[in-house]
Amino acid sequence: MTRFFAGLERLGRGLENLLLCALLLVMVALAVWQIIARNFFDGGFLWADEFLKLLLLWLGLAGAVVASGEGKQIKIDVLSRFLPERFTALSELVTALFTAAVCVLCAWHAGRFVLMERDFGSTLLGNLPAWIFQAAIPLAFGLIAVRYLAAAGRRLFELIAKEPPCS
Amino acid sequence: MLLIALGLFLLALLGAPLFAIIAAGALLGYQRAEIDLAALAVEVFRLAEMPVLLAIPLFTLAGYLLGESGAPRRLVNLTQALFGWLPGSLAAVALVACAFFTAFTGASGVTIVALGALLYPALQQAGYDEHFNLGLITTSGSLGLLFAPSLPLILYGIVAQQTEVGRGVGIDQLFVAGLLPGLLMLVLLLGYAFWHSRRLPRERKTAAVGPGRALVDAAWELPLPFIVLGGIYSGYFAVSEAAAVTALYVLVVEVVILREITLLQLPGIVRQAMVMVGGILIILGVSLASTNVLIDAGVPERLFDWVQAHVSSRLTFLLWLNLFLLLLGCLLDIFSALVLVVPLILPVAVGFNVDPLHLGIIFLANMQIGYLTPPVGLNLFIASYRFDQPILTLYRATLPFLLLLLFCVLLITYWPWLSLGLVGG
Amino acid sequence: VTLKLGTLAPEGAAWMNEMRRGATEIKERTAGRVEIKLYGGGVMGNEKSMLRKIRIGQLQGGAFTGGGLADVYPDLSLYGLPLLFDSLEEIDAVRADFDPLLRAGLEEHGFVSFGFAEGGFALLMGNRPIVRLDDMKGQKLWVPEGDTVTSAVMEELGLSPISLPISDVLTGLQTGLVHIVGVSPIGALAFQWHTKVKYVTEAPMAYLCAVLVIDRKAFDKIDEADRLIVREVMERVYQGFDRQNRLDEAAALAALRKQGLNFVTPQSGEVARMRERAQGAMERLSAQGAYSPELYRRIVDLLRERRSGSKP
Ligand code: NA
Ligand code: NA
Repeated sequence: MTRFFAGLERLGRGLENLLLCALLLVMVALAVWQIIARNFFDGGFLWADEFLKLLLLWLGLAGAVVASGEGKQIKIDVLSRFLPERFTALSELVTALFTAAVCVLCAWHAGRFVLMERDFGSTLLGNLPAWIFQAAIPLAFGLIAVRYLAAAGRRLFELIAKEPPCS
Repeated sequence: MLLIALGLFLLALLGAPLFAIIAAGALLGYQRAEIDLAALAVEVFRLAEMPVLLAIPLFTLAGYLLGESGAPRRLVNLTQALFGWLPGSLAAVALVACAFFTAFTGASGVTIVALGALLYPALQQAGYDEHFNLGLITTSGSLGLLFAPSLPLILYGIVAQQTEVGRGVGIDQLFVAGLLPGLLMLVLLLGYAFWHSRRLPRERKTAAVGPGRALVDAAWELPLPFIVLGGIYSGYFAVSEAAAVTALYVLVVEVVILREITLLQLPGIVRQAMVMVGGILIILGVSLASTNVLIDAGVPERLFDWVQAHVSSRLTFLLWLNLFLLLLGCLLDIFSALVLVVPLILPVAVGFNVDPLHLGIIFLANMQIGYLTPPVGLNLFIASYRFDQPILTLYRATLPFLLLLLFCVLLITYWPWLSLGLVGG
Repeated sequence: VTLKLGTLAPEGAAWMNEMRRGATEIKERTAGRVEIKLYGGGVMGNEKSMLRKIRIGQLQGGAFTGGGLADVYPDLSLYGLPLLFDSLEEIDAVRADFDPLLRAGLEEHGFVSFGFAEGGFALLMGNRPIVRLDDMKGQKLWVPEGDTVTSAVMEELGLSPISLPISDVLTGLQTGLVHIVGVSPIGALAFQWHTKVKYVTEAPMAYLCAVLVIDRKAFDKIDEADRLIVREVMERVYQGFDRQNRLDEAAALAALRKQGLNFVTPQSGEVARMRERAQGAMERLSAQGAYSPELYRRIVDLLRERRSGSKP
C-alpha cells in the first residue's frame, strides 16, 4: 500500500516537473523566436506577447502549487524557530488548516469569476474564450488547498501518534 | 477588526505562508467594503497583463543553472587569478564573486549555498579568523542586490509601474540607478576586508590556475553581464527579451556546450527555480488584491495626508523612512515587503519630492541590511544552517559588516545624486 | 449612492481635476446622496480589468476609449476606424448624427453615457519620413493591445502591426521593437514618445475619442431628480473636454514643432490609395460582425456625399 502511494507520489512529481519544464521551455523558445523574427524576418506572431504573459501566469501558478507541496512557500516563520518541538507540530497543523481554508475560499470565488467571464463571452488572443486561460486560477488555488489539507492530515497523525498513551 | 488583524499577524509569525495571510486580508477587506470576493481573482489575473514580469522566471532559471554548474568555481578562480597578488585578496575575491553572482540569482540564498561552499573553507585555510569569514560570507549573500539584473530590482520596477505616479519607472533606468550605490557598498566592504587582513601573511600564490587559463575557463560566462546590460542599453533588447536571451544562452552553454548539467538534472533544477518563482508570483498576485482593497478605500491618500500633517520636511521623512524600512526588513522577506509596502509609500515619497528611482534604491539598500539584522535576517539562518554554526555566533560575526552597510544606506538616502547622477534626464 | 469610476488618465492631469470638480458639484447639488469616487492612473487595471470590475460590481463605471468598450458594444469601434475621416469638419458632420445613435446603443447594452470626448487624430510618427505607403513596408507599426480591427486593416495594407500595451511603447521605440506609432500629438507628448521619433506625417490616420459610462443598473438606483443632476453635470464636463481638446491639440502640435520634429505631408493620392485598400478590410470586418454593417455603410455614404459635394 505504501509502495503504491510512493509510486503515485513519484508519478505526480514527474508530471509536475514535466509541466514546469514544458511551460518554461516554450516560454524561452517563443520569447527568443520573437527577437529573431523581429530582427531577421520582419515579422513575428502578433499574439506572441499576449500568449507569453498567459504562459507566465500559468507558470507562476504551477510553481506556487509545487512550492506548496514542498512546504516552500515564502513565510516569516519567526516564532517557530524558537518554539519547542511539541508546539511546532501543533502550530503547523493550525497554519496548514488556515491556509487550506483561505485557498478553498479563493478557489471558490475564482471559479465564480471564471464562470462570469464565460457567460459574458470575454475573449483573449483575438477570439479564444478567456475563461479557458483563467480557469488556471481556481484550479491552482484548489490544488494548493489539497496540498495543505494533506499536510494538516499528516501533522494531525503525528500529533496523535506521538501522544503518550496516558497522561 | 483589530482582533482579526492580530490573529493574522500571529498566524504569520507561526509560519503560515505569507500569500495566505495576504489573501485572507484581501478577502476580509473586500467583504467589509461589500465588494464581490471574485475581485480577488480579477486582480490575480492581472499577473497576465503586466509587462516585464516575464523577466522573473527567465533570469531565475539562468541563476539556478549557473549555481548548479561549475560557474561559481570558475568565477572564484578567475577573481583569484586577477586579485591574487593583493594582501587580503581572498576576501576581495569573495566579495566580488558574490556580488556578481547575487545580481543573477537575486539574493535567494543561492549565493551563500553555491559560493559559500567554495569560499568558506578557502578563507579558513588562508588564515582569516573564523568570525570574519562567517560575517563576510553571510554579508556577501545579499551583496549585489542593487546590480542588474537582480530580481528585487526588477520587481520594484514592476510594482512601481503598477502604482503609476505620473512619471513611469523604467526597469532599465533602475539598473543604471543601482550602479553607483552598489559599487559604494562593494568598495567600502572591500576596504574593510583589506584593512582587516593587513596583518595576515601575504598569501602565497593561492590561485588554483593562472590568469590566462582562468580567463579561458570562464570564457563562456564572462559575456553574460554584457548580454544583459549591453543588450539593454544599446537598445537592442527590452528587459524581458534580455532575460530570454540570457536564459537560452546559459541553458545552451551549461547543458549543451560544457555539459556540466545533464538533461536528467535539468527538470530538478527547473523545479527548484520555479518553486521560487511561484512563491514570488503568488504573493505578487494576491498582493495586487490587497493593494486594490487599500486603493478602493482611499488609504494611500489618507496615509499621505497623515504623514504630511506629522512630518514637515523631506529630510525628516527620509529619516523615518529609513527606520521604518529597517524594521520592515527585519520582519519581512524582501519580495513580500516590496509588493506590500511600495504601493503605499511610493505616493507619499513622491509627495515629498523623492524620485521613484531613488526610493527604489533606498528601499532595496535597507532591505539588503534586513537580510542580516537579528533576529530574523534570512541570510543569518541560511549561513547558520549551511556552516553549522549557532545563530548567536552569526549575529556577532556580521555586526561590523552590518554597521558598514548601515553607513552606506545613510549615504545612499541623503545623497540622491548617487542614485540619480548616471540616469540623467 | 456611491459611484466608483476608473480611468487610465493619470492623477493630476487636467482631465482628472475637471472630473473631480464635477463630482464635487454633484455631491453638493444632491446633498450628498450621490457621491462619485474617481480612481485615476490605471490603478484599477487596464480597460479589460476595469470592465471585469464593473461586471462584478466593484466599479460602477469608467472612462474608456472606443476600442476598450467594443467588447460590450462593437459599434463603438466605428469612430476609430483607420483612414476613415479626412478632417475635423467631417468628424463634426458624422458625430452630429451618430453621437445620439451610439449613446442609445450603449444604453441598450447596459451602459449610461454622457457624450464622447475628442482625443484628436492619430498621426504617424517614426524615425524615417513617411510620405507613401511603401515607406512603412518592413517597419513595425504599433497597434494598441486588443485593437483587432486596426491590426486587421494594417495587415490588409501589407504592413506588420505589432501589438503592445501602451506602457511598453516607449521602450519599444528605443529598442526598435516598434518603428512607427500612430498617436495624437497630445498623447505623444504625455507619453514622451516624441523624444524617440524624428518625423511626423501630417495626415489623419484614425480618430480617437473617449467615452464615460456608468453601469445602468447602478445608475437606476439613483433617484430620478438626482439622475438628472448627474447627467447635466457630467454631460457639461464631457462637452468641455470635447471642445478643449482642439485647443490643446493645436498647442501640442506647436510644442512638437518646437521640439524639432520634422513634419511631412503624404504625396498626393497616397492617402486615397491607402484608404481604398483599407476599405476592403473594413467591409469584410463589418460583414464578420466586428461592427454593424448598416451603420458603417451610412458613415461611408455620408462622407462620400460630403466629399463629392464639396468638390465643385
Ligand atoms: Na529579512
Ligand atoms: Na525573513
